[in-house]
Amino acid sequence: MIEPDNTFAQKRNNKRKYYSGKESSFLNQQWYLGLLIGGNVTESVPGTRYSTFSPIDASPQSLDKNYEKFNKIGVQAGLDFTYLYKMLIVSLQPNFRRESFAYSNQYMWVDETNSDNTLELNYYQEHKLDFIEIPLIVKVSFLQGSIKPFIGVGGYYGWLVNANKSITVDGVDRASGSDYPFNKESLSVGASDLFVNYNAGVVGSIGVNYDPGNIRLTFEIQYRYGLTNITNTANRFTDNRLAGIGDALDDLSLNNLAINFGVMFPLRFLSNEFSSTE
Amino acid sequence: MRIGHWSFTRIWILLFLWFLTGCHEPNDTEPSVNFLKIYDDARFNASYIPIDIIQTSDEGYLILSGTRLESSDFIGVYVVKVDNDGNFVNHITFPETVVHPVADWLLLDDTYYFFAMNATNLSVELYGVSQGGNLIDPVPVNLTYPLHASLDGNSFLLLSFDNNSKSSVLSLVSADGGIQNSRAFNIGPGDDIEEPIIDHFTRTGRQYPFLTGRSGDGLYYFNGFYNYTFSLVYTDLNADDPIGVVQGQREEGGFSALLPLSSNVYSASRFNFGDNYTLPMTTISSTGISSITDLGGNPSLEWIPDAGVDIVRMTIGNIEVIVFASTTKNSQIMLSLYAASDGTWLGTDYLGYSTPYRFVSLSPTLDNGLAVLGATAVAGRFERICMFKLSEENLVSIMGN
Repeated sequence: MIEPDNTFAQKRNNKRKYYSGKESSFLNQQWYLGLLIGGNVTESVPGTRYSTFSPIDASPQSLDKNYEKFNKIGVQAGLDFTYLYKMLIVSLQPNFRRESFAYSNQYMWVDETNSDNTLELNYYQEHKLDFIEIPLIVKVSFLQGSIKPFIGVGGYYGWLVNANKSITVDGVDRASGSDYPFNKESLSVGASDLFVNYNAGVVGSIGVNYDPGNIRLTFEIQYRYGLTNITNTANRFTDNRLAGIGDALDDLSLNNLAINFGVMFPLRFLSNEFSSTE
Repeated sequence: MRIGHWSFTRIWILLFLWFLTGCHEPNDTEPSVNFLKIYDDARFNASYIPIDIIQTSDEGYLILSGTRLESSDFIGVYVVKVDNDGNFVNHITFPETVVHPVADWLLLDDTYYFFAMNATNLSVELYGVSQGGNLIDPVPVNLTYPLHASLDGNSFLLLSFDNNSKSSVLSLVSADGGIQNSRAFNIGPGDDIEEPIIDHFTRTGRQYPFLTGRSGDGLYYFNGFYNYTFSLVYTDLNADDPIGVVQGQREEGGFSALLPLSSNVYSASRFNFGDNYTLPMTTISSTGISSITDLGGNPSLEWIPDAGVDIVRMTIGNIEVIVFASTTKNSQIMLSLYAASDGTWLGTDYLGYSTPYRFVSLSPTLDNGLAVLGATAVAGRFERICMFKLSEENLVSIMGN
């Protein structure tokens, strides 16, 4: 009796069974490589305050800077390396990002013998910091199907690659015979030496993944909470070319709110037989 | 060999933690290590003329300054106490009867002294300030027109001007105002030679670099007017005539700073009809009569004409260094470092940007840094006192420039 040789078929059936089994660890995991792009706004949080000026007739607090919050738009773009295991997502997102923040100072001098004689100067100072950053975020995904919300937490570490500072000066000189307004004058200087070359903190994330087919689209809102002082304490005064107008950076950390849009490609199951979805 | 997915994750996490914790330099420089402070006054008409600075034993600083007075041709007296971060602590404002404070700060028995002048009778007064910036009762000194003072043991070596005898007077003064020894050296008869001295007091003319001190061979010296000429005069305070004189160029040339190194060896700078010269290491004869122009020197073309100069000696990074400081033509403060061993140039740095600065005085600090006193024009118009504090690390980096 001739027995059919089903060794090969059994192997093939076993393989299919291995792939298609719901409990298979192989099908529970996926790798993605994607592109991310988006925008961000930054809040600079002052710690100890500093100024080049030390007033002899007023409190030092009168020189505190007025910081703007989340109103300077920056951009970021980068890659997303994601590993997915069941509902757990580990995402490494190396990116280039520009974060901007601004503050203003006001100074006034008054003629004590004639209070109409005053000089008022307003300085508006904007900073643009460019980082190469690597966040690592662990996310938990909810729901099944093509739309999957997620939340996540993680940390980030960024290297400062460039920093610029621009200053706009205006004011009114009322001591020259009339209210003589200064025209707005702007000056830009390199400011890399004023900041340390790193920035680190923790990041929270909320978003949604959408799997229309063999790609994954993602929308994500990230909030970064800075844990490091970005001001170079050694160079606060000595390398500051604007120190003569009273400027000295406070101890600062940066909080940042970012929106990312991304498209990710699965690195396994790129065939018609299997979906990219988990 | 297959690496499991958790292994990849662990590697990422470990790399990330390494980035986070281990690969950046410390960023914990204390504010007292280096700083720039400008002591601003919101009053439109306030104007300050810094004169000298000294660090006190609590690591703060006392700044001696003058102020413009509406009621006098002389400048008033103003003393500022700041903390070790350079922040304003308190100040002493003097009545307008006290005018013309002169350098140096003189530390004796935990009290910081300086000489000033009574605006009414033009006599010298000695003022003491505690390290906290509190004034001690002044002591009258039976001399007139103070010009410069330095510490000499437990006494003060004071150069003053006697308008009656037309003499430069060098005196040893004790802390109670008593005159221990004194000699007068005639500046020469006539108004021509007196006029620049009076203009110096009223600040309507050139500010002359009057100096006093003790040379390496034990003689007293003063830098001032003698025999129609701004000269360096050596005396033992016993003989009526000088032991030695280095003659300048009438009122147009002379030493602008002087630091004895050993015996007859000095670091010095000189001015000559507006030009400036540095002499990091030079030998000056303390006997006989010589001419300052014979000393030569390196032309300091960056300095403003007849620049104010100060020289200090300190150890920076285990190297004995001579620091020269002055004001450049583009209104920065220039520091030049030379080896104390042979006078070779080690490096130069510039302080101050965006607003004009004028150099006034140097003072080494307790942490082996350097306090640099200057003046700046805030908003391009308000004359204010400024102070740079440089760390030893800052000074070492200058030697690499």
